[in-house]
Amino acid sequence: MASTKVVLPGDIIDTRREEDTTQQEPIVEDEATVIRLGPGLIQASEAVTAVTAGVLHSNSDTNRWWVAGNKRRYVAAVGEPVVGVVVARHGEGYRVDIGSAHDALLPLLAFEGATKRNKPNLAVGTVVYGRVVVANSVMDPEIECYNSNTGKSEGYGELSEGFMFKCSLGLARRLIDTKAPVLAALGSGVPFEVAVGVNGRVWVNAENVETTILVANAIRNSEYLDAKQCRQMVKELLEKQ
Amino acid sequence: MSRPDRREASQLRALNCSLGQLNRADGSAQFSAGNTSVVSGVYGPVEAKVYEEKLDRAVVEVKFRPDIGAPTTKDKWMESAVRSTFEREILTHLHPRTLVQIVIQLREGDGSVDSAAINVTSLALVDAGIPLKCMITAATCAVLSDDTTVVDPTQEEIDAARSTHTFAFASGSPTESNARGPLYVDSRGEFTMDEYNHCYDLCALAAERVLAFMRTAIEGKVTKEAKISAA
Amino acid sequence: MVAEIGPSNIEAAFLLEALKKGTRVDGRGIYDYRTLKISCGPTYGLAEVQLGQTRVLARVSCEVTRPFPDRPTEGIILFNTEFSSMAGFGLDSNRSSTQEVAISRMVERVIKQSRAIDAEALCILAGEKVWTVRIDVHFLDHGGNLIDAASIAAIAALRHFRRPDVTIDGEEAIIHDVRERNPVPLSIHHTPICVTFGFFGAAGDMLVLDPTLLEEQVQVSSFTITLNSHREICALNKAGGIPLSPDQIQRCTQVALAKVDEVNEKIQLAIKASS
Repeated sequence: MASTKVVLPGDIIDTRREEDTTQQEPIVEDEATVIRLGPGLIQASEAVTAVTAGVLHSNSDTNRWWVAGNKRRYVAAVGEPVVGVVVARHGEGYRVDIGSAHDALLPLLAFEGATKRNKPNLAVGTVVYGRVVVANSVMDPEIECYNSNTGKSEGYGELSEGFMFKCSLGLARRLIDTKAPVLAALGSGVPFEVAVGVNGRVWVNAENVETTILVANAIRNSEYLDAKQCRQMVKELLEKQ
Repeated sequence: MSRPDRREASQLRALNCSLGQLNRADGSAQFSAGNTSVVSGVYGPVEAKVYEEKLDRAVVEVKFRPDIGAPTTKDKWMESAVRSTFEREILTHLHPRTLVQIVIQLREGDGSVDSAAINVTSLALVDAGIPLKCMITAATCAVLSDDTTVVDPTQEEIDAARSTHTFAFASGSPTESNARGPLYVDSRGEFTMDEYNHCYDLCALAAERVLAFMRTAIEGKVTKEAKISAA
Repeated sequence: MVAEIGPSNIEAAFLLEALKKGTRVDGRGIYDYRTLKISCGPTYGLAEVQLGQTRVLARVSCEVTRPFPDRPTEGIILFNTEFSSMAGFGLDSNRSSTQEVAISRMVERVIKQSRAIDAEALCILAGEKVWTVRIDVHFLDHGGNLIDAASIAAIAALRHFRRPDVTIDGEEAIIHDVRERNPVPLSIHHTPICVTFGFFGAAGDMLVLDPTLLEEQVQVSSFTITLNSHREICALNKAGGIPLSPDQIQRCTQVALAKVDEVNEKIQLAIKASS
């Protein structure tokens, strides 16, 4: 990760590969020259333009380009794990606040082992861990609390006990990795459970209230700390306990 | 004639900005030029009210709040100025049926408030990660009674000016031949075409300097975050 | 998303469970205030207060007006707070809830009715000209306990403010430009500071100082005590909620006394730092 080129909206991106820039002959459009644009980039007339601020990334194997920046407002994307709060119950399912512009739909039967006769009954205010299955700009998102291919919960479902808090989407994405410095440091000191929603909501639970608070605050504090600072911060918190 | 604060005619006041200092807003920024200071919070894309939602794009709403007293028609005018400047540059079609709400709070107004409002909005939208076609930066000029033209006038200079002019430009150098024209123009008072053109050129250069300043600030924040996530 | 969504069930349950053990979800003790930062300036009468994640801006300004006919020798003090959606999505002023009105009224009462500002010192020519002092409080970020943050911001801005100097020449009042003659501070009798407590549990037997937004959403009652640096009580406010015992009020008063001294010291430091 040598490149840390920061782009701003409106910046034109030079997507030519290094060897291309030396060649003068016109580039033939084939599979090798097709570039794929990820988040933060659009094609405006002939040029590739950034639309959000962040670090420009590219993968030379797939020729994919994208911009990585931090945000706080979630925009749903298929396959992503999210932590949501049930805000209403309708005939066909629950409406769940996942922090995106529109509430997500959670069908009544989208749980492990749920049948028409036997299905979970969630109260308004219940916290659920789910996976986004429908996400596009014209429809409300939809989530489910099991893997519909295997029929197993795979860790998704109602989150009872414990505590939930919000963080930036950038931090949430870092926490998805179990090797995230703050989680690794905490894990070596105290046992706890964690469910990370990439929508910037994190649920934690430990054997007692004090430990849960400690874990929650350590994760919240890690927003602007690097790996070394994380370990130091966790160490100090654990010593205080 | 030298300026009361001893600036050169084309010199901006000391610029200052910070990003993301508010917790509730999805994006926020503070921008100041000398004593003129504004703070902005952006929410979006959030759910639009049913009666105002658009099926094919996001609705952009701007609220401008004065430092002293309740909002007046002058502030309503500022809201429509900022909204019309940004509405077409936000990629609203990416988030249909949603709302992008921009709230601007004037902390203190000492001249060139409209350009400060546009500049802070750019920063707050970037902080919120709202997709934009370009950055927008603005600058104000005043033609004084002795025919000199000054950039980034204070309120004292504006009160004594024959005319004032604010221009906002899309990022990309406005001096280049392929540049787009200004996105926002506001000229008040009595002036000649030559004076107008001169102000245009001065504001274009000043807006470029504001953009360079913002770029440094945003780069600083992004690089800091990138370093942490790479570690 | 338009209406403010309350806390989830597990947040509320966890908060109460933690309180039973005497701890709070942000790691504070029950009598701990969040980190308080006050900054004044650059212009006179501008103060910004950060109380944890709560942020409030206060702006004091003045102009010369005619006095009210029934009070010809007193200046006028105007107080204005408005919620904008900057502090939290949907917190608009035009559909303010009763809670928001209560916050505004409380802070206004504390500043105006406790006669913190010497209104007679604002008189220029009796029956003709007085100063109208305006206090605008802007809520920038709502992280709970807006009352305390707003009262601190308002007091800091008032103490930091300077008005143009005036000299009287017979029947003529000359208002000196601030560049001609040094502006003068307001005459302030005392500085009332609000200290707010939140109560929890069916009997309200658990209390915390300086509740956060989450705590405010879960609490069953709140109590605000307003004290000045002379250790005098200026206002008490308990707007509904479950009944509290006199013992609890006593206990709160003791805690508040210590806090008010700390806050006044911080205001003093902020004013000193800006000059």
